[in-house]
Parts: sequence; structure tokens; C-alpha cells
Amino acid sequence: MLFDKLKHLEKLRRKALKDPQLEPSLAPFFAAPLPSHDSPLRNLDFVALDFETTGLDFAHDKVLSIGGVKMHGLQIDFGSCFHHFLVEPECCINPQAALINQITPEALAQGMSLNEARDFLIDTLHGHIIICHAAVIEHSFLFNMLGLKSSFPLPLIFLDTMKIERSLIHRPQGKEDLRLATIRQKRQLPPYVAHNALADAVATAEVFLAQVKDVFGKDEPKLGPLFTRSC
Amino acid sequence: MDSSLLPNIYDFIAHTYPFSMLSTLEQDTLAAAVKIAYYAKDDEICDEALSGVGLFMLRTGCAEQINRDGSLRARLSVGDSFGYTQLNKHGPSDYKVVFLENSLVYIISRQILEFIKARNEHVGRYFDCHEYVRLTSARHYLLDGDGYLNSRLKQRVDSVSQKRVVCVPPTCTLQECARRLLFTGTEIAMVTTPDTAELIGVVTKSDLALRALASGLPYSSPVSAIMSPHPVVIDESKPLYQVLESMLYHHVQNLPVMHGKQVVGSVNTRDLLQNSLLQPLYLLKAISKQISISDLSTLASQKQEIFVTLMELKVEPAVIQRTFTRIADAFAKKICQLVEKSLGTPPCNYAFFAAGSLAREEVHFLSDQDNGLVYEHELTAGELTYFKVFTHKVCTALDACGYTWCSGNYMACKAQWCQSSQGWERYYDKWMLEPDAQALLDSSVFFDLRCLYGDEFLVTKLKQKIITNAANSSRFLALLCHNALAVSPPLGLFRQFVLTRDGENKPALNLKHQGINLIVELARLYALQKRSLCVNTAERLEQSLDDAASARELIEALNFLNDVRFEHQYQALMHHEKISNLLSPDELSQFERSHLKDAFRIISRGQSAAQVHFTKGVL
Repeated sequence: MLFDKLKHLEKLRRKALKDPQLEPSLAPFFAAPLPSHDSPLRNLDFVALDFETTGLDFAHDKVLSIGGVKMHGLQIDFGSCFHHFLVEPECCINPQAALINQITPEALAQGMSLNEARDFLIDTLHGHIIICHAAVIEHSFLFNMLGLKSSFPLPLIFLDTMKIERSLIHRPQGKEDLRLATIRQKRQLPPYVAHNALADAVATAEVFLAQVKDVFGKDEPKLGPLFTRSC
Repeated sequence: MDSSLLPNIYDFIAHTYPFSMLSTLEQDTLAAAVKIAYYAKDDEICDEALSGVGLFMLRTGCAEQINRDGSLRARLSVGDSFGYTQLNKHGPSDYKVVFLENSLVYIISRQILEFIKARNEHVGRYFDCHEYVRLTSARHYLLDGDGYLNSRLKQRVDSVSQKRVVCVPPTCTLQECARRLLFTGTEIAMVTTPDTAELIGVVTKSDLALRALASGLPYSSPVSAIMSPHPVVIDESKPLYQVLESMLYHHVQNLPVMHGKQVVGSVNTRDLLQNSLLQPLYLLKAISKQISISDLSTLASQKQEIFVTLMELKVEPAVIQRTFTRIADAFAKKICQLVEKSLGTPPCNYAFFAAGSLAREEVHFLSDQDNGLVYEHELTAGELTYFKVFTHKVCTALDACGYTWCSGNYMACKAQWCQSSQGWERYYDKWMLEPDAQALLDSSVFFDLRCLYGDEFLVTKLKQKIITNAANSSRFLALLCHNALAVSPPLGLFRQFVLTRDGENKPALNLKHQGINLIVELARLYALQKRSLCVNTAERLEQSLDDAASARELIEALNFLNDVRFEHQYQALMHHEKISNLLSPDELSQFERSHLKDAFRIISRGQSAAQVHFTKGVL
């Protein structure tokens, strides 16, 4: 491997940890060393994560809800599910986005504040590998929420089920339907309510398990190949 | 957690037996403890990955359980589970699970399962490791359903109502009204407006007597003078208990039954009374009173109503079979009696006997006729004509009464099966000494005998002959056993390739041939060996099987299979579909499927035991 992105990310993390400009509350987030290319998946902790947002503009749109489920030993632990709505006093929900996500202002009123959500995510995600469908969304919004500066990397490894799925297509035509629901249908996984952060997270986790089988077959699944396919 | 967010997982738990029996709170606890794993085609789980882990529920996909000796234990599909018999094991497991398709599996850990088992008796009973205990609990579940009385009162009104309706205009005379009631044999006349047919009143037989006759009204008075205006009515779709309530509340004995605004029938107290377990008794009594075969055949339609009632009362299958046996006996006896009367004195003593399921007292709603006739001594051709005519008339009449011609031609009207005592004894000798395929088939029908009419001793002698010969011929028993084992229960249920095909070439499960008959044959084998005169399958198993536990589980399996068979026949009747012994796998509930697997596993074990018992060192 010419350039090991994982090693590079690990190097950035260690550097950031020593940087005096790193906000103290974020320090634990950067504390744990990242797994390497050869780490077996069965020893790793994962969180499948999904954000519902007011739109796709990372700079201006807001996160409405966060949902996720943890996974260890390649089993999804349904008991670890979390699903939180975020309240933002100044925020006005884009009615269209709310319609898609079926989030009502009432639901939002009982939710977490942005600060609470930030603490919750730091607490929940550190030490875990993140699995998302179209990870760029969660990655970018998370980056914003944590208030990271561009000089600091997000010290998390993201695996992207959409990119992994694309990498599994033999002769890509460039116009494959890679939506979560379509992939699940193709893989004969049961349909879930779409556009609900928790349901999407569980749905993503299941797709991930299926992809692991596709990528590794009977071999020991390791982190590297999946990470490569996610970049 | 908010269960509405993940309806999929909660729904699955809530609809999968036995977890469907849990309270919502317990189901939530369970769902929250689920772990989800994914297995690809050809993946295997065994030993440490299976023993003591917990319960694995198939959410999507398909898998097989393979015993250590390589034999198939069961094939599993969506909603099925495995792992519970291995809960208390360590290390090697009794079987391995091989996935035939990519499968999503929900895993419930042993600790959670123990917790739920302790809290809920349905789950506790279900996860007992013995199949027959699961079958018993399944049958209780079916029986508890809503209890005897309840289920009966939940029947729709139109299942019991009188469909003949007398409608008269308000100007109709009392005499005309009475005449119409007489001719239709109904209790109540509906008074309707001539133009719109709107119900404006009713006149009952007692109204005619008490309101008209008693007060001396002339016969030509209009019915409007005595009718009860604005009658209480009931919609045809309402449950029976509402009829009872209405009748009690309004002090009426007759209710018009409505379909919207139209009168479609009536229901009275007698209809309610007849719709009880008394019904078969009424029928038996009616049969004994008939004096012609054509009258007798009109009673045959009552069999269906009785079947429906018994099913709705959730009567157990053995009772249903006994009830239908009594009815079939009554028809056969009465027919023999009438035919004998019409033909005059027979040339010698004889007996008309039942074979097959009627002999075993295992008749059901669909049963055809299996019978034979034995006469005391050889007859001249002229004398034989009597029995030719006799058996032809009897079998034709049975067919008219709903006991259709036997597809295998096992009927007394076939010369082959109308024989002297010596003739029958020669058959038995031949079958047992030179058993070929046809002999084994014939003997399986005529080894189960029961006298229906005539000289019972003639039949008893034949039965003695059978058990003496058979028990002495271990070679014959071995062959009979070999034959009985030719069909295996469909352990790998519900994937197309293991099912038989129905007439339209759709995959179907034949509960009779692939299940019930296998138990019947095992029971016959053991009974023959033990020289038992019993013919009923359950009795044979109880009395002739040395291993009481095996007998018990086979009887449970038999009961369960009959339960499922009758339930599906009942459903077909209710939906006006063709009734058969074939089941399409899609029709089966997950509950039935998982229990059918238990039943088939029991049969499979019974067959293996029989093979060792009867064929060791002989073939």
C-alpha cells in the first residue's frame, strides 16, 4: 500500500492530541488509538449512525435527529439503539424536510439541546468505527457539531455502505440506484420505515453485515479492505 | 424505546409464536434484547457457536438443521427458530445449522430467554425440549382460544338462521298467512309493503293462535290487525350472542334476519338449540326413523353443519372423528336394514363390515366408503345374486348419503370383496404367505375391520384369523413395516422440492399421506404383532407399544395433524373452497409450521424405531 490512510489518520490524531489549541472537552474523543488495517472486525466496536437533517447544506442546515445502534463481534446489539431529536430555539424547520422525515415540531420540543447532543455523541462514538450510508453527510454535520477546526481531523474511522456497495458492482455503469431501500430490497432484507434516523441506522448496520460476507466470504474479515472501499 | 420507530422488529416478535403470547411490555423487553446477525449461504453454526447461546430466529432466508449422523432434522424458513434444545449444552451440539440462503437472524440470549420463560407459561411450555410437550401446549392453545361457549356464541347469525322467508302484504288474510306458514314450515311471516318490500311487522304462529283465534277474528281479517309492528331485527353478520341478548331483552322467540334493509331469513330459539352438541344426536335419531333411502340421503347435508359446529366448539379431533363414525355407522346400519327388508330373507348369515378409517373409528367429513361383506358358507351362483344386488344397493345408497365411491374400489359391491368366510380366509393366507405390492396394499385396508350390520361373529372370526397369522409371520410384518416406511414425513417442509404436487402441479403438503397414514400404519404393525383386536389407532398405540412415551408422543402428533387438517377443511368450507387433504404451504401459519415440524420429527423417530423392531435380521 502506497499510502495508508488509516496510518495517516492515526498520525493526525496523535498530533491533534498534543496540540494546545484542542478544546479540552474534546480530548477524550482523541485519546484512543485507531485500529489498523489488519484489525479483525470481530474485535472492533461499531456504531451505525444516521442523521436526519433539514437539508444537505452542511454550513446552514441543521441536524433534526440522530439515530444509531452499536455492533460488536459482528452482531447488532438491538438493545443499544439510540434515537434523539434535537431542539434548536432559533431553528425553523423547513416544512418539506420535516414532511419527508416525519418529524413534527412537537417531537422536536422534547429533544436534546445542541450541547447535550454534542456531549452524547462524543461519549457514544469515541472508540467506535462509524458505519453510515453516504457517510459524507454524517461526517460533515458531525464535524460542524463538534466545532472542529479544519486543522483537526475527525478522529473517527467512517465506513460507507453506499461506497462499499458500489465497489461490489462488477461493471459499474455510473447510474446504479444505491439508495438504502433499494440495496436492501436487492439483498432481500426486510423493508423498514425509511427516513427515520434509528430505522435507517439499523437498516444500514444490516446491510453492512451482508457486505462483510460479500467482501470476505469465509476469510477473517479485517478493517483495511472495507476502509479502502469506503474512501 | 419507542416501538413505533422500528415496527419491523417489534412486529416480527409480536407475531411469532410463542412470543405472540407475551404482554406488550414483555415483547418490548425481548425486542430490546435482540441481537442481529447475518449469515451467508453455506455458512454453518454448530458446537460452541450454538450450544448454550440462545434462541436463533430466522428473520429472512432459509436454513437446515443437520443431525450429527448427517440426516436432516428440519428445514427452517422465516419465523422458525433453532437453538433452544441446545440451551443447556456445552461444547458439541446435537446438530449443526447450514444456511441455504443469505439469512438475517435475530438472536435472543439464553439469559433473556430464561427470564421470559419464567415469566410466561406459554413460552415456558413451548421451549420444553420435548416435541410432544410442545404439541400438547399447542393444542391447549388452540382449545383455550376463547373457550367453548364463547366460540359458539361468536358464530354469525346466518350460520344458523332459517333461509326460507315468508313475506306477505299487510292486506293478506289470516288464513292465507297461516297456509303459507304451513307450506314453508317456518315460524314467522314477514309483513312487507307491496311496493318497497320494507319490513313493517311480523306475525308468528302463536300470534295467529293467541291474537286471532282466541279473540275470534274472522279468517279473512288482514294480518295487519294482529302483526307486531316495528319488529326487532338482527343483521345476518351479527354474532349469535346478540340474538340471545335481543330475544331475552325483548321477550321474543323469533327474529327477522336482515341483509341491509332486506329480510333474508329468520332465527328462533329452536335454531339456537339445534346449534349445539345436541345436533348429532338429533341426526342419529332422524336417521333411525327414516323409512326410505331417498329420505335418508336428504339428511346427509346435516353432516356439514355438524362439522362446522364441532369445529366452532373447538371439539378435539378424536371426538369429531368418533361423532362422524357414529353417524356413518347409523347411515350404514339403516341402509342395510332397508335394503334387506326390500330384498327379503338372505340365503345365509352374513355381515356387512367397515374397513379402513370407518373400522378404526377415524371417519371425518371427507371420508369415502371402505367396506366388505362376508357370508357364512359357499353359495350357489343363484344364491349369490342376493348379495350382489344387496351390496350394489347398499354401496349406491352410501354414495347418495355422502360416503362417496372408494377410489381404491375397496367396496362390498366389488365381487372380490363380497366373499364367504373361507374366501376371506384364503385372501389373508395368500396376502401373508405371498406378499406382493398389491397384497400389502389390500391388507392395509382389510386388516382394519369392524362389523356394521349382520352376524358380528363372522367378522370376529376374520379378525382372529388376521392376528393369529400375522403375529406368526415375522417376515410378513417385516415387509409390512418396509412398506409403511416407504413414505417419510416431510421433515424438510416448505421448500418446493420436498412437497408433493397437487392436481394443478402446485407444491402441496398431503397431511393424510405424508403424516396421518404413517402413524396409522405404525399403530397397525404393533397391534398385529401384539395380537391385539383393537382397530382404533390411538388405542392400538396405547395398548401395543411397549414404550409408553413413544406411544404418547405419536398420539399427540396424530391429534395435532388432525387438528390442522380439520381446521383447514373447516376454513375451506367457510370460504366455499374445495375441501381436500392437501395444504399449500402458504396457507399454514408459522405456528402450525413449527408444530408440524415437531409432529413430523416424532413420526420419523417412530419409523426408525419400527424399522429396528420389525426388520432386524429378517430382510
